[in-house]
Amino acid sequence: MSRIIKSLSLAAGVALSFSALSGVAAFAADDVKVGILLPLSGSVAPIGINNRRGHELAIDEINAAGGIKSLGGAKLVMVDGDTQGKTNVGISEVEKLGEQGVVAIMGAYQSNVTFPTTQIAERLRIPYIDPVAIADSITEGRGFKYTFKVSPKASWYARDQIQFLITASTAAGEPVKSVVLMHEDTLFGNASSDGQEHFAKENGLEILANISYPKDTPDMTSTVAQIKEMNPDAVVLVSYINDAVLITKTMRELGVDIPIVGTSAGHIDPAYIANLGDAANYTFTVGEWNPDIKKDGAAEIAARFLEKFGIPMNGHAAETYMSTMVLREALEKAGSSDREAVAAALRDTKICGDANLLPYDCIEFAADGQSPQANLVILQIIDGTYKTVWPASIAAADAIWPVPGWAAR
Amino acid sequence: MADVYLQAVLSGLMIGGVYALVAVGLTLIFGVMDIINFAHGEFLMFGMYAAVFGSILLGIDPYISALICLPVFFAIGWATHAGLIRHVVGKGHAIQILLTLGLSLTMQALAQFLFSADFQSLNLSYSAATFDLSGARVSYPRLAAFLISMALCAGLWVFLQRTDTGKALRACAEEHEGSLAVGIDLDRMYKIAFGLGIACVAVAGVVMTPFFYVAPVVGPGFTLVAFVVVVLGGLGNIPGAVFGGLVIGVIESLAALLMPAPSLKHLAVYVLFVLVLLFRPQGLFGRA
Repeated sequence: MSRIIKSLSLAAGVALSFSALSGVAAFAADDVKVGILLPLSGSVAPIGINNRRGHELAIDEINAAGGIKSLGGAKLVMVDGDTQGKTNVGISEVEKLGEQGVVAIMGAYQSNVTFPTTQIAERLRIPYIDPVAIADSITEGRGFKYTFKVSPKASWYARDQIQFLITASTAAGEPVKSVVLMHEDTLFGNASSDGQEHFAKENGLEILANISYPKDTPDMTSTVAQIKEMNPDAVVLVSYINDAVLITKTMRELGVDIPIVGTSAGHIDPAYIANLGDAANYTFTVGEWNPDIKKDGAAEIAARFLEKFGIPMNGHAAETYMSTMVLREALEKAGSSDREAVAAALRDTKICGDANLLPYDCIEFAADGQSPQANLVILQIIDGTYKTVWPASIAAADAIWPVPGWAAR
Repeated sequence: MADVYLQAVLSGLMIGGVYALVAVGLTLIFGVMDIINFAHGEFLMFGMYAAVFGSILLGIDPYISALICLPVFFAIGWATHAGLIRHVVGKGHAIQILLTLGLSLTMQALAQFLFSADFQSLNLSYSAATFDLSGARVSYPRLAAFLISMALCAGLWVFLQRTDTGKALRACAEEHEGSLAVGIDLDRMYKIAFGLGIACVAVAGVVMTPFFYVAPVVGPGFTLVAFVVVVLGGLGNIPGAVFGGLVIGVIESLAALLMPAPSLKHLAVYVLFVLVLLFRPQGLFGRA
């Protein structure tokens, strides 16, 4: 019996290696292989699969437009590495992608997977573009030469939120002086809140309270009543979707007329609008991107995305799309699919203006690999849709500030 | 500042009323059958889904759903007892816990399979309706949830005191063998008790839907609160459970104000739980 199993598994192994070989042989000689390292199975797979769509759309467009011209029209080919959302799997996938001859790796959505996998890529000297993972530590104090981070740093979410608060309220003639910070009490909420506290203090705002709350509680009335009593100029929230909806509902019940500034997550979930209807209007949230930003071509790309995949393009997809374009630029410049040449070209890459789909002027990489101009956008829900209201250079609408009271809506 | 405390006490009382109804169902099942139903919160969750989908798909108002859910979930409870719980009545606690805990996990997985893991909530015209009570805002849907819960608790109490079936149920709770000796059909009483308990908790879920969301994982939090309430009021004691529910609601709400952070409000509840277990394990209303 055991001999049968042994010979069977041997046969299977041989068959597998043949199919792997034939998979390699299927690429034309001048194709350029690009490693896409994302969680494509496991609990975060839906997000990983959506990130992959941005790469896919960009690669389709690049190939349809004639591929990489400086490489004689070489086509880009995606090679998937499935991290399953796990650090150890991610590490072995990087090694596998390296052996498969990818020119660069893009990934890996999760910061906790991106951090160690960039380390392996550094050792193997494979250029690694990080489109989405935000942890500050990915580019801070590591001195990596092969990591290129397109995404903003995690701490910049708070920086941009506070900056927006001050700009918008000053423009309306009533500068914000005091805020209440409120966050759900897991790692996401606590970490975000630390950043908000730091930037609020740095900008001279008075923090009336920094409140943490359990996100699955059925009643927030007493906490919201307390905020009403403190009467800050704005309340800055870090919430998942359930609690975001509950807090807004409770604020409406208690007639709390204080602007809400959310931190992506729950407040940027379309379910927020679906569940609150009109009550969702005027809520602000920080976000990565929005299809309405004032960049030529952004709306068209979003439309092509919607047509191809049947779902709206979100910030992650915009970041992965743009990162792929960054890689194209570097390949064109390098005129070679040699990793060292591509890494050198990435260090000198600069994409500005409308060619950069992301909400800031130029993508380029500082010595630490971070894109220094990267920033966030502030969206406001106006008439049931998210509108970009900050920064002014790419805003699609003016922020409605002060926010009308519940009684006046 | 006084307004804030009044607001906290009022909203605590109102959510406490719902806790009371959840706990009454749990304590009734425990009192009569000596079984702790770990799947209690999951029946609440299914009650909420019934109301949410009834409203979204069929346009049935949640308060009408409450009327419909009462007999429907009584039948579901009856059937659950007949199919599952019956086999572990009078057996060891370990096997009872395993069965109801397993049922809880199965129901959560089933809800995730049927309704997806996304949360749902209703946005009704009256969801945000409030009135002013000397400086505090009282939400109509929360008040309705409180009043319906209290009415059901009172109705259950009258049923247990005045009707033959109710008296038979109480007899079962007192003394199983004695009840058998005077010709009470124990198995039928168990089915009724389980059906009533499930109907109570499902209606508690239904009346929360105008102001609260539903998701497959919403149940265990309520089961846990109900345990604390039941222990506080005395196991198997219905007025005790009502009182305990209101007390826990108010303590939670006030603790959110008084503790350094609202995320510590559960701490106040569990500290109380531990204190009751230490100093009055029979509960505030229980007999030693």
